[in-house]
Amino acid sequence: MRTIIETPGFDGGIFGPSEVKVKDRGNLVAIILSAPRLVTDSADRSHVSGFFQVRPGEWRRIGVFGSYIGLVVGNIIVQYTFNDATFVSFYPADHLPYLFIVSSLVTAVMSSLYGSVSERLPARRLSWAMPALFCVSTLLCRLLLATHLPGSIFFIYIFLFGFNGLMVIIAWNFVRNGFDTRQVKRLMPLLGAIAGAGAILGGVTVRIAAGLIGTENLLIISAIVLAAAAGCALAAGPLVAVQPVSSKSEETFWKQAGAGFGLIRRNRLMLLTTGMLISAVAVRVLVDYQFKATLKSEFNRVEMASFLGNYFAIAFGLEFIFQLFLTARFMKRFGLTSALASRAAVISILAVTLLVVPAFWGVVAIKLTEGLLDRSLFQSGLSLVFAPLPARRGNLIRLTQEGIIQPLVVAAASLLLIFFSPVVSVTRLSWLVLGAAAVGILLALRTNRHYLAELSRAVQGHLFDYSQDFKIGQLMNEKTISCLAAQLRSGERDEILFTLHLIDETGAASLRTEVELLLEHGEAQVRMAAADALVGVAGKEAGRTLRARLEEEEDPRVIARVLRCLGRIEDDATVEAAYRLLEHGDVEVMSEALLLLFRLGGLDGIIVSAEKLATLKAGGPRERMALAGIIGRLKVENFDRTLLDLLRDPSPEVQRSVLEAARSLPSPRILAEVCRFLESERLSDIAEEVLIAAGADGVASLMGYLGGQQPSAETICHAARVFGNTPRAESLPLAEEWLESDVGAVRYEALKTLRSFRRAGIETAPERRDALLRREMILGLSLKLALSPEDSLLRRELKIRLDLCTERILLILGLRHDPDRIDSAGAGITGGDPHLRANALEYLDNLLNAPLESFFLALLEDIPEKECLESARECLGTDKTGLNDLRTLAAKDRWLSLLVADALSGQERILLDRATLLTRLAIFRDMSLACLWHLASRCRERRFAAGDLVFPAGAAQEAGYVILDGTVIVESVTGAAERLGRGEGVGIDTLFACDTGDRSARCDAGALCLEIGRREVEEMIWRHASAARAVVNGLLENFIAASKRELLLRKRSLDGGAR
Amino acid sequence: MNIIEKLFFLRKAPLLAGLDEHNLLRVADIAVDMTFKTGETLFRQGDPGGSLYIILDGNVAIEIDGVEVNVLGNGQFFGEVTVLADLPRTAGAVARSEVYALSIERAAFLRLFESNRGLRLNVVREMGRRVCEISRREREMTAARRPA
Repeated sequence: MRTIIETPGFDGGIFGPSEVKVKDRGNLVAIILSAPRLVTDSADRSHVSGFFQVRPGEWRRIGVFGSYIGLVVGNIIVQYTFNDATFVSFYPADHLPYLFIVSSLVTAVMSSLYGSVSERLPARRLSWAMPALFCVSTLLCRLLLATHLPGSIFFIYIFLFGFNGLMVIIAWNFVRNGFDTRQVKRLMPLLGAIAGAGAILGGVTVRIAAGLIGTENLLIISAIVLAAAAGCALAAGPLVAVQPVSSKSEETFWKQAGAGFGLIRRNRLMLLTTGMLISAVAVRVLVDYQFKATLKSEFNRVEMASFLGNYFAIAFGLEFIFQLFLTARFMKRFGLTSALASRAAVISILAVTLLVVPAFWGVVAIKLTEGLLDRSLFQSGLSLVFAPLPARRGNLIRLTQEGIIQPLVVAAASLLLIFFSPVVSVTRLSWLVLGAAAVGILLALRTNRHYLAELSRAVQGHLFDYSQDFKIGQLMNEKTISCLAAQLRSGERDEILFTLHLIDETGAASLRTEVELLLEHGEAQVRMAAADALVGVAGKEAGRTLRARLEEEEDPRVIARVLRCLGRIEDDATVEAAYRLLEHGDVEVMSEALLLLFRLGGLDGIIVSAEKLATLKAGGPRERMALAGIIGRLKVENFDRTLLDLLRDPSPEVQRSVLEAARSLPSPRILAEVCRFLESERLSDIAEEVLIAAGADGVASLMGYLGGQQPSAETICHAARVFGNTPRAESLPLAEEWLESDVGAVRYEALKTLRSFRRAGIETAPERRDALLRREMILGLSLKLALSPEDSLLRRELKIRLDLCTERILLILGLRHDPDRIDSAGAGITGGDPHLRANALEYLDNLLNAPLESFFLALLEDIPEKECLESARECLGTDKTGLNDLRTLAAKDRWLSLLVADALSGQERILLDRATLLTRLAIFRDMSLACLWHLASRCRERRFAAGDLVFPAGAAQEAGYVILDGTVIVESVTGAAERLGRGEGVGIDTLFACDTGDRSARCDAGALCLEIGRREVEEMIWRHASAARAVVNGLLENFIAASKRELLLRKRSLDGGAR
Repeated sequence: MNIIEKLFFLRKAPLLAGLDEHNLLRVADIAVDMTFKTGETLFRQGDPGGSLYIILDGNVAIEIDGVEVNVLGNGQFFGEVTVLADLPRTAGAVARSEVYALSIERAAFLRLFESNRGLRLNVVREMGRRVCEISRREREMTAARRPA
């Protein structure tokens, strides 16, 4: 056979410029799997990225957001050191609780201001506006300090404290909005470390600058840092997703806080988070008091400043190291619960130690640990908990927690201190610390379950519920009925037909008169629909009107429909007319008359109908098809022998009619025969439907049939679907056996079946599931690793196979966990929404146990190939065994064998060439190989002689063409002509417009073309959503390109006009 | 606008032609009716995509780089590029008269596209018509610019 076109893309595609030549095509997969390019240069290009778990393209984002948060935190350290050094040196220790209370009140006021501002300004604008405002305010504070007014130190302390509290909320909210859930988990520790570095730099700056320019001038440095932070926020703004902002919101802070309280109350996870926050804040206040009171008693003013400088440097140095090296790994290894509980647990141990051995360094150790674990683990954990929530909801809750609850807790803890501090020593306060920390531990231990539920809700909440079945009748009210009446009077045929159809379903009795009038309508279809609708609105009372119509009607289609309607309402008075119509020349009218007589004509009617049935059986194929239809509608079991005889009819059309009839007459004798049709290429689908409709009887018949057969893979797939629709314990072993099939499609159907079984409470053996899960994961990883940078059919097919493999894995996970939640997670992963995908991945990450999680997420996440390979090696043991295992698995797969071996010989080689050719056209480029293969097999070569018209202008277009040889000239009525050559499409763009429009195509010197039928492509779109997506992608590509060209022409003509 | 009224409008839209009443009701349920005043911007070029719009009444001008490239009327739809291809808006849309439209959110439309064969075919046919229409306009403009 002649090769149509060269396909260098295929032979050279995978291996590209490398020296590997494919000698043994049958073993192509093995070569791919053992190719040395598995470890690429790009994979180990950056050890730094690998160490920090930063993916390609994320560094810029980290740089901008990191600089922003680093500057904000650095400023906080500068201002806190200024505040502590100034305030503690001026006031005694027993003033501290009062300072805490006033500070908390100011924080609440500032939060209320923030709440009203954040409603009007998007987060990205707030992120630069607040540091800018704070910068100016800090300079004003410096001026106030210079006036030496009484109370100015107290005021400045409170102001800076409140504003800094606010800046932290704004800054972290802004940073969090710049990343999705998965990124938050990976990168938040790194961002925390950068914030820690900012804090260290802040501390170092204070130590150097305080001696040089004086403590009070630290505020000027602080203002410069804030101005730089505002600049970073401006640069980071475009990287943050736009959040909808209500510009006309009249909500006050208290209304927002009320909404926040409502959200917290309704959400168990947020209740727990709030509880943990209360515990954490109480601990912080108590520890802070212990620390500062101890400092006051231990040091004079100069020693204290020196000690604080050293303390901050060490504390933030430790925090920096912790964030950089430990936090992410700790969270990955021990999970969310441990991250949230560890701070309280360590503080509890230290508090007990302090009670047993009271010492200055014990207090310092508690303070140091509290700060370190709070910022590294506890706050990172909290950020993760908030990630699945919609941004606005999360912000409202944070606002309530930080703006109201936190100040209240600070005030309450301070009141406790005012009460206890005169009577209890600083060391004894550790009892209170211990109590608050213990509550925090208990709450943290309960978090994970609710976090998982929230992630699942976040994924499910975005999905459209298609299970909802509309009951149109429930939608009926006065307004909708008047709307329907108006449509009936509209005079438009299509509108009337649709409205009558709706009325038939709803039974709106008040529309009876309008419907009766339409029985006289000039269009037969309207009269038929009106007859149906009349039965819907009037029931038995419609008999008289319909009989009258029967007498007057001449159109056989309407007569048949009216007879059917009269049969529906069991109108006895129609029997006379039915006797007369039994001899009607139209088969449809005769069938309806026969059915009516059989049901309503008593014994005489049955005898006459039976005679007529015998006549039909002896008739031609049309009569036999009518007979099958009548038996199906009669549903009398005694007629199953007749159906059985008809099932052996040589005509496939008659067989199809019989199978359709068997759906409503599923006798065991017929079902046994129906199983045979599962092997039929044309009738297997309908046979499957019959067996499914028969329920348990269908399963029993199928079990009997399969017992004595060696069924094909296609038959097993049909059988698996039948079993899945009616789960029975006796069919479980067969479905489990199919799980071990070498054919992927069979395993896939078996999995779906087993999941139906699980939903019905029939459990499969866990060891089988585990073995299969492992096998599917290995195959999935092998496909992922086999992807090459070159584009080729094989590469695309491998990607599709990977998607299928992922789907299978999700199905197996559905056997192990809640199938609905796994379904939602799967839909979230493939849905195309990056935030939804991140939430779905995070859900699976938390749901799966460690070994499964590392393999599966390696398949799904866009992680470097090297990590993928490591996962595969870990999964498979040693390298050598692993690769052998991969080869064995891939070699067993039928699809890959078809692709790499059978496809490259004889007739299929031509199909592959055609498929390759089709992929050069935009509308077929993204189609799966299976669809391309199908389409290629239905294309035909067509030769045009010189001067032949390929298609005329303004004609209905039934086919498009790809030129294999020669040239074709396409002309439009405007006079433009285009000469197209080999490999180019002719009339492909207009294929779906169903009209050649203003263009015609003719052949000037003879051409050989590949003809692609519109019906074939539309059938593909009809059957496969993936094919529809591919065609739409191609059309969109053409549409966008044409739009750009058109725009250019318009601009030129505008420019020309202007000149 | 109640769901039945939306249903009658939607079934006239070529995009949803041939869908049965149950599927149309699903679309009617997720579609949100919106009104735009003359001159009001529905969306700008470069905006992140979100919804597909079906015009019930009125005219909408489609603009690229500030140049009006098309005016759409009753029953026609727009915003499909961003919904189907997940791209930012490739064109802006401005109401040329008072416009009454139904908007369908991207995720819901895609799920409908995946599950409904008739809709898939309608989308392909409509897109095919648009490609032909835009190519025809391009040829006419080229011919008009050609010296006689």
